[in-house]
Amino acid sequence: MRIAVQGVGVVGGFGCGVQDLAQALARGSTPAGVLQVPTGREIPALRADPSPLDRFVPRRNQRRLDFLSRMTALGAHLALEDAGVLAEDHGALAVVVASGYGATGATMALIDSIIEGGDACTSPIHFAGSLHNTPAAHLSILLGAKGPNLSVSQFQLSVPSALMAARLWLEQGRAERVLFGAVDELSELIGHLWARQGELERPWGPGPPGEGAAFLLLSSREEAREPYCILEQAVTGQGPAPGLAPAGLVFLSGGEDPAASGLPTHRLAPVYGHMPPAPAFDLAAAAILLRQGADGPPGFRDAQGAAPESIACLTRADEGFGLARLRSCRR
Amino acid sequence: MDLKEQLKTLLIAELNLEDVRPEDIVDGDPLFVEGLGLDSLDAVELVMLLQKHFGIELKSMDEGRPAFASINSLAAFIEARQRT
Amino acid sequence: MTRGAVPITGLGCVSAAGPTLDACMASMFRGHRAPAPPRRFSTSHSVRYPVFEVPDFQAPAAILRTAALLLQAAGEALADAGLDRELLASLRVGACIGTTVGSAMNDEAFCRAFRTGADPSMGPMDRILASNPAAVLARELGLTGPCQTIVNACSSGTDAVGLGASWIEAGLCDLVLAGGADELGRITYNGFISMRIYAPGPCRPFDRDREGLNLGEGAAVLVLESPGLLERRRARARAFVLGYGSSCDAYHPTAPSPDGAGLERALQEAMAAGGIDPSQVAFVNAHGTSTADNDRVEAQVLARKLPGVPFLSTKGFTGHTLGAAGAMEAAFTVACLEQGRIPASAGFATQDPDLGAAPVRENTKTRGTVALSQSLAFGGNNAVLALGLGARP
Repeated sequence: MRIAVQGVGVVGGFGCGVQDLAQALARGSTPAGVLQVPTGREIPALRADPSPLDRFVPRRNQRRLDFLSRMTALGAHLALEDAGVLAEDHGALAVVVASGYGATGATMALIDSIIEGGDACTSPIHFAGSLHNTPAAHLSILLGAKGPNLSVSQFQLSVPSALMAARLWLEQGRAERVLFGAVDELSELIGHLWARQGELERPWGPGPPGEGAAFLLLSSREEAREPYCILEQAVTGQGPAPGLAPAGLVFLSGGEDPAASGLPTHRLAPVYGHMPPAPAFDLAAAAILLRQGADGPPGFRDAQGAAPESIACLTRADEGFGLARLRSCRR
Repeated sequence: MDLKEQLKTLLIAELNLEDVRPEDIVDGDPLFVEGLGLDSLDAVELVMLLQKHFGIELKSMDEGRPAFASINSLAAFIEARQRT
Repeated sequence: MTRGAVPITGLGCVSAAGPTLDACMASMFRGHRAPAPPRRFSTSHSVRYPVFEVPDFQAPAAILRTAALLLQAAGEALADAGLDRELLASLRVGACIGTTVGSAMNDEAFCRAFRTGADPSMGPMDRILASNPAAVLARELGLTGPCQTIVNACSSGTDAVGLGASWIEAGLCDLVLAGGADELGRITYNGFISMRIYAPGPCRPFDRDREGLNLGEGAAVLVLESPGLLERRRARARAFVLGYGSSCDAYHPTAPSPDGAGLERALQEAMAAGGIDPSQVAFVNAHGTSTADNDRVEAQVLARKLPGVPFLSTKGFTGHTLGAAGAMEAAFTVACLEQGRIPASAGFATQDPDLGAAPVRENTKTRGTVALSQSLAFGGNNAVLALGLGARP
């Protein structure tokens, strides 16, 4: 069975959509904006703007969507549009959404409602908005997607875990198309934790942090359009990643992993920022580069100097790893 | 601002009715399902808003149902409660 | 569609009904339940909405209560399966766990201090960051396989068991610790009260006069095992996961679709996967939260799809334990199948004419080796497990 990446939808500090991401990859980095944290400080951050969602969803129908859900909806619609299937019936579409920290903005708004008015003034709308599966639920409602629906949240390893589930659904025939994506927001709370990460037991990294959504439409069907690439493997576990074949490139998120040593390795955090969805952005970048082939930016060449035929997206965090392997379908 | 105007502004802000202006809301029109098209989640938020802004405690959703029919009935309900 | 029965070789559970699965079952069959106002936190509500707390349970300081409850249930399940750390270390073992509170960045004291410009210490955030449920299991038990924390609201536990079973079927793991965990908390409590679906007294699933749910807390873990390992170890399966179905209503963020079509599809999928006919179903462990909407939709679907099949809600004994519920109820379902009986559906007294069906009023002997456990979640997820004593219905 062939599992293919049919569409890519992204929004982040680099802009919105495949073209913006491709240009940012060619540049190699994205200038950071700022995030104001409540202590009065500013930290550099890659901020996303979900207002292009208005193209897909009338404002009126966005009223329940907070910032996190708007980025989610935008990434999802862009992926479907990119795949050329936006106008189709999505009744059987399966949805998988990974988020490292979930709806921290809505959570803070919920707590604010309690602080301001007392327990009896807890806002039910913010409570509903704070649930981890709310972004995925909004997707299912907006798209009429009634297939299996899964939300996963486990900090830096959210994407590998969720991708494994998406791939398994396709392999096992639970779905023929899976809309898979990752999203996280730089809410006040997360910004504060970034600014103060020196006081955390496990600091988060050099930054700058980023926010955004990266979605892929994965399909096991014969589709009308040529795919970006094939998703050959998506595994996750504890300990070091399994060994990688010497050919191809490695995109690395998180810590070092012995599996990447000796191979042409790229860290793409300067393009979209440090964040739990980064591995999903790595997948999107890999898909774009595999389709571009020799037309892609010269900075991404394999050990022989040729356009890569395969890219491994490796994530390393805490004691765990995620490994996804993508292969070009150019022959 | 009179009570009905206040209610319209409150609903627009708190229920995030992005594309609605106070002058678009007709006093006698339905708030739920038709008209403004509010739903069950808006209803419970409205119950909380009555507590927060007017100090009115509803014992059950049934108690609120006739009040929530329109801006007119909502205003009348609040005024009646505040008199007692 | 996945096929093939996945052996369940160990079970562990901690809830308000008991610190172990056996203790929970004994107290349910005795008809005992003890909802009470929360002891570990207080609120300013005029009504003292009852909860189902796990008594006499103290979590270590470094991890959330949710993670600690999970570890206890996992320990019981592994012992039940006859698996020790040494054996685990030699196998590919995954962890697939559902939760809601256990993943939320919502330490209230920290957030309050943060909001008022005080400079709270990072301790509470460190604790949350160290407490992702599946990651905690992997870390504490030295597991090397895949690790997944599912946050599908109230269907998380059912989804975790179903998805964990699919890892066994795919040959990814020798064992999967599949389950769910959640703790009671002030914010969640306030949240459900604000939704106006929280009963001021003990909950009454499916009853005509039900006024809403009561929250509970706890954890449950099922050890799912590959048939190959089962044979090599000469272990015995207590039961099997015969099928799993899931669907999304795509209707509303918090209300279930009134036509129950999503739940029907999930039921259909679970039964088809297991090759199960409605006539073979001994009973259904329903979601039965005791809210007006949930119970109406569920009962109407059961009356349509499984008429005459006895059903119950165990939430009258445990409260609604959110991410733990589906896993707990899967464990209860296995135990009930083994005993050939189900307890009376606690809290039920009067049939609701709108519902077309009523749960069992007394402890009831059941016939058959297959049962269903189902969950419906905020966000519109429906999840159903088909469980059986044998590898075939």
